[in-house]
Amino acid sequence: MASNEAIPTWEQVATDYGRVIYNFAYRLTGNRDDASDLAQEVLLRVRRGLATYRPGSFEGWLWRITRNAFLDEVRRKKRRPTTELPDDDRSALVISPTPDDVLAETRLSNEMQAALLDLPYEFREAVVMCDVVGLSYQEIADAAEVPVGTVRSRIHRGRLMLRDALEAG
Amino acid sequence: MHLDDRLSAYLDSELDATEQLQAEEHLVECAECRAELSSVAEVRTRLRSLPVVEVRAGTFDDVAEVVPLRRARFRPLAAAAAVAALVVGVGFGVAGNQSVPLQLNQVVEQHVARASSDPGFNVLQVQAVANR
Repeated sequence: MASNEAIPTWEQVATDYGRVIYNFAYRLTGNRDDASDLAQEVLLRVRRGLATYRPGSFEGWLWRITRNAFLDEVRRKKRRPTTELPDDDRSALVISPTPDDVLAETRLSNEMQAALLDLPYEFREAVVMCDVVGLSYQEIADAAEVPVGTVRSRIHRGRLMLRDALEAG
Repeated sequence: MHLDDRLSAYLDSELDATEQLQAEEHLVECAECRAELSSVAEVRTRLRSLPVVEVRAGTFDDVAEVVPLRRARFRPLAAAAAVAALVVGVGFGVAGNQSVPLQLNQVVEQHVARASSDPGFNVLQVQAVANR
């Protein structure tokens, strides 16, 4: 974004990005409750952070907040051993889907979701940011704070791992 | 030498003009890269076809209700101390001290600060002092 960008209110961010943040979270975690918690946490951080945000790459800033909120949540769950990590959390997806999930998900998308959850985090994040959120490689690099070449490699290797998992399944 | 991760970048239009031309030339010659391109393209299409999951109504209501901004967590100890300090201040006011507003602020701040920093701070003691 140009330096003369208008800084949005958090309500505008919720309206414009709430759904895509929620979908990012859902594809990373595989269940709606975790996705809701994460999306709420991101919006809280956005609301606090907007006071000190300086015009620059708003998308990069927003997605950096989003991934940091997710990583913080993973770390928090690691400290509580009774709670499963997102990587292991298949039960909510497969065994007890809500009626909404049943309507929304086809067998193919369930297989893809399960394969996504098996990807190491860096690859899952890169693939979801690219193919679910629709960010460019540069925007993903800004958010993940890695070089563009690393993003390119992660996306390709992530897709290959998904292909192999889907073929094996 | 195969295209490897340039295949995904090619699909995503993330190669510059020179790289794209080189990739296309290589693809004409290399069946292995064509096969990989095809399988990666299929995964990419399936990912992009995943259904959009709608946000539950009211998901962001809690975000709107958190005020003030920099105190997301309610601290009952600090709140109780502030109430007790208010009682102290009112006591001074009844005594007819003209500088009560200033003292009231100071007392409130001191008690809130102490209650925040000292988990063992006993609110009941403050209230006992206030009631004297």
